[in-house]
Amino acid sequence: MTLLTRLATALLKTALIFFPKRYREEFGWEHACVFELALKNAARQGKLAFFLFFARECRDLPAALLREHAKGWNVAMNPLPGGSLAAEKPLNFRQKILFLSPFFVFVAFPLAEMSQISWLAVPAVGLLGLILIIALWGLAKKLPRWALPSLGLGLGVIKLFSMSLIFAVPGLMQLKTFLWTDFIPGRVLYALILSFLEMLPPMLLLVGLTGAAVLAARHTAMTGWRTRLEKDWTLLPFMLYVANLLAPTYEDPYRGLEPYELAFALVLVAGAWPYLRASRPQVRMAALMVATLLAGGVLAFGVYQLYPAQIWVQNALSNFPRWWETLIPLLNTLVLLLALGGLALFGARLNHNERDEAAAPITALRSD
Amino acid sequence: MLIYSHSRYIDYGNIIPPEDFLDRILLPLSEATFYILLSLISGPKHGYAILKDISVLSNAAVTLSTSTLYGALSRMQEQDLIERIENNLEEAAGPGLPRKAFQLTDLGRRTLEAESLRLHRQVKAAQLFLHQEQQA
Repeated sequence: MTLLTRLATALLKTALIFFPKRYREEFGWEHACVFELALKNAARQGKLAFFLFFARECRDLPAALLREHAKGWNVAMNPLPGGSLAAEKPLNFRQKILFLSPFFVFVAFPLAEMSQISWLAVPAVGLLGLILIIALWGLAKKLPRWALPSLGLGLGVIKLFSMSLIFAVPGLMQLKTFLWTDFIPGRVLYALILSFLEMLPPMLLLVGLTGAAVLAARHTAMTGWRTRLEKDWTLLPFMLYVANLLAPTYEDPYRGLEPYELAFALVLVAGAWPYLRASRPQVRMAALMVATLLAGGVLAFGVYQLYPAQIWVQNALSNFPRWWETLIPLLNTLVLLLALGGLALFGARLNHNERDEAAAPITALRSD
Repeated sequence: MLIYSHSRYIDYGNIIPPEDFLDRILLPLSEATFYILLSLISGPKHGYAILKDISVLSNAAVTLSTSTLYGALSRMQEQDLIERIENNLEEAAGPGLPRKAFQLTDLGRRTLEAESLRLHRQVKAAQLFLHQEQQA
């Protein structure tokens, strides 16, 4: 075997590592074996045939890889019987109040600011205490629907507090010096990195808790969590979605942003509704994604509109131009969308593995 | 009898498979699926033999990569069109050849027959209209 043939075969074998386990076990060895035979055959026909064969393989391999993974995700995306939130009993009045409480807070604050009716903020502050109780209660009750927004808001608060710790990450300041230049893509990359780092604590918390729920399911009270997440993998992204309610507070305080904050919160409320109603998880995820994108757009538009009216801009104290200020909420939204997608895939992957294990005895029976 | 396929119903007379399989059949077949089924008509084969067969049967018009081939085989196995068997073929004695082969199932054979009939009817219809046009 020539060096090129050996190298090509080694490359394919390496690429096969990235295929799903199911595929590797069933066809992996055979795929590599047939590839090697076909490659040798092509090599015998001349250099052109060899390179055409190899080019065709390179062209088709990524698509095949995606297709095989998509197959697994498609299986996992279908909810287990009774898994859909839409299949659950409708929320009663009290549960609806509990569900809407976090949204209410973020509608009440901008309303109080805009209308100069400061007492409107009082019940909202009171609700913050209630939200903590709802979140803790929801954890104990195995993640019921009415507690999800409160838990999500808890994540948002964790994110808010952890943001100040980000600059303790080693090397970040050196990275800033390196990237924060007149070269615009460098700045954008730095902003994206910052946004990713800000997203990490809530993401790690969700993934960590889910992992703990799976590992400790047989021994602790986390069984309910595991069952709930197995049934519906969109619960994780939904909690992160609600955490986004706090996004306007991450931005530097902009004077007059309240109407946009209100619109931002209302768009997120509007996105939560189809999420609860839709029976297909793919549709529910789409609702969350679209609402997140729209809400980010609203916030960016608000910043763009209000930029000239800011005192620090008029005093020429800022190094940050208008387009940059507008871009930041959009970059944060992009990172959030990726995080939502990532959590959804993580949940689906988890379900997929669980279902593979559950299906193993059936497969064995069939082959008998 | 009717087969539901890509949002239309087609009459396939007596060739169609039993009722419980109908919802799993997708016609028309892709070229790859068609030629794989055709290749397996003559008996069980391993992946490499199928790959070579497809090229010969299609007059080199269809040349699959190994990724596409195994993607199609995996899907067809899930659809019960083909099945895996231990490779007891004579040629399997050679080193480096797969230990398992693929074999057509009853459903796969009937699906191929249904697709052939569909293609045959299309060709017949085309010939008829072309003939009429030439006469006119």
